[in-house]
Amino acid sequence: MLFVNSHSIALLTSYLLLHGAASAIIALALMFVLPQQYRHPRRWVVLYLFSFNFFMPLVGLVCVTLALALGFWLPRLLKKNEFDLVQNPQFMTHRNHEGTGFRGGQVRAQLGNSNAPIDQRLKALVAVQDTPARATGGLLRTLLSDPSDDMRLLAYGILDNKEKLITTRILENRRLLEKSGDIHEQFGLNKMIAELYWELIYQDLVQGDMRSFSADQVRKYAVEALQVRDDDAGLWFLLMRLELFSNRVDAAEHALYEAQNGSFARERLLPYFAELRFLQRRYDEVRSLFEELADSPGVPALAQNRRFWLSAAEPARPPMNRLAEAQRA
Amino acid sequence: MSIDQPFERRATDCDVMLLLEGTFPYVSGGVSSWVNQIIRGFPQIRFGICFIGSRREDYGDPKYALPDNVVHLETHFMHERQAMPKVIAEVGDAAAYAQMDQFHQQLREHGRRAPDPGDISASLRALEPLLQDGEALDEASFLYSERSWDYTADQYRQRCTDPSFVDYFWTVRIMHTPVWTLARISNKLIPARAYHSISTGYAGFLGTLLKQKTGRPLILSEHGIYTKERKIDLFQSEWIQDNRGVFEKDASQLSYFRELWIRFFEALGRICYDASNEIVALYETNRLRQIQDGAQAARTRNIPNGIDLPRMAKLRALRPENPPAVLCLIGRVVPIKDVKTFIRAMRSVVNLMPDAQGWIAGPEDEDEAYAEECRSIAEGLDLQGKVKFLGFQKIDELLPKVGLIVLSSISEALPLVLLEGFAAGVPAVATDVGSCRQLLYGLDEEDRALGAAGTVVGIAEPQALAAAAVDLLRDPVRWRAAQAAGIARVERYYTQDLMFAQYRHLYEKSLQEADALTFSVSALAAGCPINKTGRA
Repeated sequence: MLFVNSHSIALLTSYLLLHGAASAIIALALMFVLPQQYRHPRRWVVLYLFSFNFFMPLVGLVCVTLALALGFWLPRLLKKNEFDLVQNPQFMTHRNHEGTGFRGGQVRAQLGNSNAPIDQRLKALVAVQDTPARATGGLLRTLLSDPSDDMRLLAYGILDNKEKLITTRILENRRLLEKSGDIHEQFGLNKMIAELYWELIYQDLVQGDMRSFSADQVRKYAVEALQVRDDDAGLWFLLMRLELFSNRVDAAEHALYEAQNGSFARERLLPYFAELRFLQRRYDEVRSLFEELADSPGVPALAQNRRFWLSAAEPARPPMNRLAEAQRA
Repeated sequence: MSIDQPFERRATDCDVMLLLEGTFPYVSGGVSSWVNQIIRGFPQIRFGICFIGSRREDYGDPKYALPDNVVHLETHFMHERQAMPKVIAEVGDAAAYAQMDQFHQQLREHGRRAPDPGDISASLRALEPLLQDGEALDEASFLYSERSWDYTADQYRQRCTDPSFVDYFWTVRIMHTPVWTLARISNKLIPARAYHSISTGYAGFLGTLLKQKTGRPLILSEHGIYTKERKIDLFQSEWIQDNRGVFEKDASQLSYFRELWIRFFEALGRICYDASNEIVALYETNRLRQIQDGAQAARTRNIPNGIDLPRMAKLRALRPENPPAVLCLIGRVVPIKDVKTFIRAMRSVVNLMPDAQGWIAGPEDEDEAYAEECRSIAEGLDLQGKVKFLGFQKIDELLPKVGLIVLSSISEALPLVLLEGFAAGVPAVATDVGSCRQLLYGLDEEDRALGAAGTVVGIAEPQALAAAAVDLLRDPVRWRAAQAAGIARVERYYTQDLMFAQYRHLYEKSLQEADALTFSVSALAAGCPINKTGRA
């Protein structure tokens, strides 16, 4: 119509203006429905959509609509191809085998034998590295005078690291204690420091003068803590173990009763009561304490002691005698 | 210590390039003092220093003034973040990777059988140019190429006994990265006529690369045994992963990664021994250890430490008539010196000799936590006023006031402090480590005939240490006999002049070899028939 009925430039211009405005509106509208990833760089995208509609009226719109659909669906289709379904992972032991290990008791034998190959001895030493010092402390200290420099250095390193772990915490807590103004916090810190010093003794990491020094420190910090809260059964229990260890029987008895009064589990106190009575030479009471212990699930280490004390009450006799006794009855 | 002189030294070349890992001039201690002594002992030699450290922040100010004959100093830090090469997709050169695999096989074989002299060096000589940037085995290829990935994955499948591939992958990467850092350093380092490394490890490997690249002689002087020390550290390191489950774990086997790290440093040691022209130990036990670790016996020798005898001998006149009841530990306050044992021993010494004092003379800044621990032990043992922490002291001022040198170390090589003490007329009580027994009791028949210069005790035995010290201090006749033996021994075997004479010989030999090489190369370039025929 435009080209058939009129040759007016003005009409053509007005048509182009109207068409341009329509294309611009369509381009801007399309920007809103365009997926996020295609919207940038914004200026060029708008210009592109505008050109599409301006130079290809209708066809452009159809193409853009089709392209929009493709742009929306295609990434989803492609995304599917990027991933695959796999089986759930399962735990499996590793294929590569490491070789033969130590036979029972061989670790100690390897360590003690200075003629064994040094590599094997070092491996044996590394194997006991993570064992608590309470079990290996003596062995490691023996190795400090080993003829091999490597063994000496490693044994020293292991002992030193274990000691350092505890002493570093002691120093940290002591620093905190110096700064602390809160009485409850001071109680917690004093208790912690006492426990850490006890750990040094319990793990057999200190000897001689250092051991007595550590024992004094446990006492000092435990007493400090008890001045704030004298009903802390755990602290009394710790103090009791220390006093028993230091062979201070009266102090141990006092601490033991305090722990009991503080509702500390009696089953856990029984072995210490028994030890205390033993040190006080009150053997009958030791026996009755073991009878009491027999009713509660005991610590395996105590089984032999219990057997001794309980069988001592009724001395073992040969079956023949018992038979005779029964007959007499 | 205040360092007045400027610390920037740059030159275009030098005579001897010292390759120093974690020592002079940034760390004080026995090895650093020795390096200082050597540099000052050869003022006619123009030294260069290539310092290799872990991270810049691990070192404070320099602890030594630089002697005038140090013409060049550069510092490199292995564990600082280096600029990574640009990521480029690449396949990797199959032939180069096969060559690298062969080198690894050789190192593995080398660990199992007696060394075949020169085979490792020959392989490394062929590999060295390939490690430079832009070549087939450069860092980018190691980090990004498909072949590198395939090789790593393949090695994991074949050898790794730890279940975690992720940990294996990163362990291999982190472990090998310094190889390229060192290759770059070797490429840019100023020319030197000879190289002198004071340890194996990274410094020794750099020396090896330089030797391969330039053909110049490499001298290796070891005070301790680097590989052994690293091994002990690695046995105890907590940062090394072990992912084996309960059913996979075998107590007799180290975790794979721990073993891998140990093997890495053993390999660095073997590579360096294989490339070194001269391998020096301080004493016989260490020389035998070097041979055991792969050094060729013919290239090894012992050169013990030596001290400035006239300087120390002057101090004898300053001593009081009777030995003062002062036991002195001279050394850094660090765990390896086992200062705690000395303090514990002092408790027993003071019990027996209430007038006795224990002095600890050495810097405390290297391990402040340990120093604090030592102080708290002294305080706890009620030794305030009896055990004194003096910090760094001038040895000339200290020795005349001391009755006994005490060395409670867990590990030592050939401690200079014992020799200095002997020369100044102070006997010693030392632990049975390194060459202490040799220094106190003598090495051979002739040496032993000089007598005992003190007593040797077991390590970490405070009671024995205290008893030996008290015995010596309380018995003036024995003390004087020990003093005389110490003086005689140091005068006969451990003077600086003896040590310098042996190193003079080594340096002269190496520099002559280097000059001969330069001459033949320049002759080749100037008028060699091969050049004239245009084959190049």
